[in-house]
Amino acid sequence: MVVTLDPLHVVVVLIIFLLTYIGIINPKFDKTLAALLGAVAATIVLIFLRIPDSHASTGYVSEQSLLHFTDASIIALIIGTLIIVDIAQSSGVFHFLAIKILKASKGDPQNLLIYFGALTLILSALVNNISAMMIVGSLTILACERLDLDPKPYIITELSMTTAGGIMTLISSVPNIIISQPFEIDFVTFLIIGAPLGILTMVISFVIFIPMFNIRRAKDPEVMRLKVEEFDEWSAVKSRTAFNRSIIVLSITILGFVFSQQLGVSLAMVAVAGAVIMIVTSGKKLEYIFEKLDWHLVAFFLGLFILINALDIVHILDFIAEALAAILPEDDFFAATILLWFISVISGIVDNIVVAAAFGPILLDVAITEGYSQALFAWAAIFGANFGGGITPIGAPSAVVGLAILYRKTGEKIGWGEFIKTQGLATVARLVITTVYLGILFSLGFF
Amino acid sequence: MSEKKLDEIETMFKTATKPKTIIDKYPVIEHIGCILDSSTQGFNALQVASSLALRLKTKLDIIVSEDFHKPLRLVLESNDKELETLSTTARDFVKGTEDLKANIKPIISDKVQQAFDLFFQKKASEDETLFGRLVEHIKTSGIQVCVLGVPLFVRSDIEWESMGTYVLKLLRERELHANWLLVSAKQNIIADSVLAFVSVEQQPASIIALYRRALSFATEHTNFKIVGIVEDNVIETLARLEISDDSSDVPDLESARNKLVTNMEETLGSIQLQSEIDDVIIEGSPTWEVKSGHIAEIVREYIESEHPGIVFVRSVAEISENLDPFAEIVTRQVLQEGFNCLIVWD
Repeated sequence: MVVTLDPLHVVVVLIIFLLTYIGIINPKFDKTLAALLGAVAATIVLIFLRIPDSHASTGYVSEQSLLHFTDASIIALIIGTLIIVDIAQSSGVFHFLAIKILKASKGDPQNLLIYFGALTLILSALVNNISAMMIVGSLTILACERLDLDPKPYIITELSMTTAGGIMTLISSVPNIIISQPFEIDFVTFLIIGAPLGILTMVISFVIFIPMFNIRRAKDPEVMRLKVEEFDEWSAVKSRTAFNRSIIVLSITILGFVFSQQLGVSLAMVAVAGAVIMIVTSGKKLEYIFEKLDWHLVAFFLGLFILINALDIVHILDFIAEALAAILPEDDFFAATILLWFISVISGIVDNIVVAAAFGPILLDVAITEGYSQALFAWAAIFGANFGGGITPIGAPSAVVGLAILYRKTGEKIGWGEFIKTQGLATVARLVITTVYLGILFSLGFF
Repeated sequence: MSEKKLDEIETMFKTATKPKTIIDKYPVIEHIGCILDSSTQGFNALQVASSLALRLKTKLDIIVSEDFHKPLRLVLESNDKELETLSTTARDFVKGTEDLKANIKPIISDKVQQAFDLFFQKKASEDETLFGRLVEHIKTSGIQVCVLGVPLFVRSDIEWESMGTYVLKLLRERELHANWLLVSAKQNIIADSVLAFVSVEQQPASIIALYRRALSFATEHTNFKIVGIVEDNVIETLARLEISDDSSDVPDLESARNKLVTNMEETLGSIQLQSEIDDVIIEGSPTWEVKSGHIAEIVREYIESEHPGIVFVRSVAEISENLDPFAEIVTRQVLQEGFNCLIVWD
């Protein structure tokens, strides 16, 4: 079917979308405010234009047309995991784990890079990549200070690991959540497909970064060991009881995610239930929790989803899907490979969350109408958005955090050139491996 | 990126390599006393003391007494009947309160004649007063916490000074080491939460003493918070001192504030509880915050939001006759708001 566009509708919505996007990427403007302004403008304009909507009770586009249940469910999942992570973090669980890992490395520079890299990968997979970068990055600076090591190679490796960890579970990064929902990928399937590639890319990153930064073994292992032994893993734990409870609730929630399909409940439900149990067992007041919640992030998603739905209502997404279908080769794997690299490049330039939100519905549309493998397209989009975010310093929020930690504590900056030289190389290596990985899984009939 | 969250994570790591002051024990309260006189606040003191004794499972002495600033002879003549009435009130209160066991100790009461005789046998001079006898009793009875009703009515320095002559006398009595829990006429209940205020100028040892004492009031349900206050005047003093060091003209208040807040955070962060203690305080794992500004405003803000059962403040000037200014401002503010305030000496 050929998509027919109404020029007025398209121009108006595109102008709103472009202005919003300029607001989002402009550092002088609050990106949440830009998204909310865009959402409000799009809502008002679409209602005013009286665009027909067969699902609306009035027959025309209304506020309900612009926010779907799936969007609310994604937001609930994000809020739930934010609360769980925040309470667990304040109980000192992650700090404890990070210092234990530091001690296990015995202060050896090479071990430290590998152990902290692996820790970042695990925390990114189970918590989220921004918190992982904040926790491991902060300790990296302290540990390097004590061990007289240059923190830069460690931060760069950890940044790389947030990207690798980001593809391991469904809750590891926001693009995963956004793309998995419409493609109906469950937690276990995500883990089976994503985790092996995450571990593989971690190993490749070590192979690239250890020689690149010339990270050698400790000359005086005993001195280094004694230096890290000075760290106290219980320092951030104010209450053992709260600490134990956080671990229990965190474990139950992860099990809930794993068995969500068998239990017949959505991931959002598990996250919200986990968050409620966490609040109750932590004894913290709701005011305290709400005060700490990242409402900016939640409001940003709300605005973004409304805007994407506005593009859908005026058929811009259908049009792009149609154009994409015309360009893409007929072969599923080649089409997915093009998408993987294309989305990766776009995600390096544009915020990967915006890319995921926009391309999720487009790719689903293309896959359904043209008969491509939906799962293959979904994974190409997920891997592309995650890995592409790692090419440039502004591609993924975790990169922004990592660089800020380094600059705040040492005054050292990593420029675009150095970033692309190190992360870019790792990203290209990853994309090549991902292409092969997808090809193998596709030929084995996984998708 | 959330700068605030990053700061929080970094602060939690900050203490990781610093030596910790591990608190592994705290004084267990076994004996509480309260002084009952005929005032509203005196009866509030009895109610608060009995709640506390039941909660902490301690011995309770109800000391029935009145008008301690007057010479003994006058008290006997004027208040004999009143003290008997008060003793009856105390006995009825104990009978009417489930599970409460208390010793009623009238300094001068229904055993007036006997006390009178004893007094004349023991007294050294005509100047000896009931105040002296009360001090002697508290000293020898082993009371660790003495609950006292405070007649504080309006917000002025004069009223603070005349907050009850014997209350002030007791507070200033250097031989007494009991901690004074002051109860106003506005409140007769004691919620299970502890809020403690410490000043940036207090020594770590003083802060630890307060921490320990606060722990001795905590049960497994206690919500326990410590607030470190960096006072405006201390910030100004430091900023002025730094001018003379840097030979610049304008005091950098922001930099001084940041420095003091960081110091305070490090001090509070360096105090750690051993697990056995931690297990006692389940719900209220002690939390701490540092605030800068005017003492009274910070105290008011926290009291309004936390509604604490007891507010703790430690007076570090117990060897002189007055509370130190920090303790005085906190105590006054807390009592004015109608909450219970414990002045810690130990």
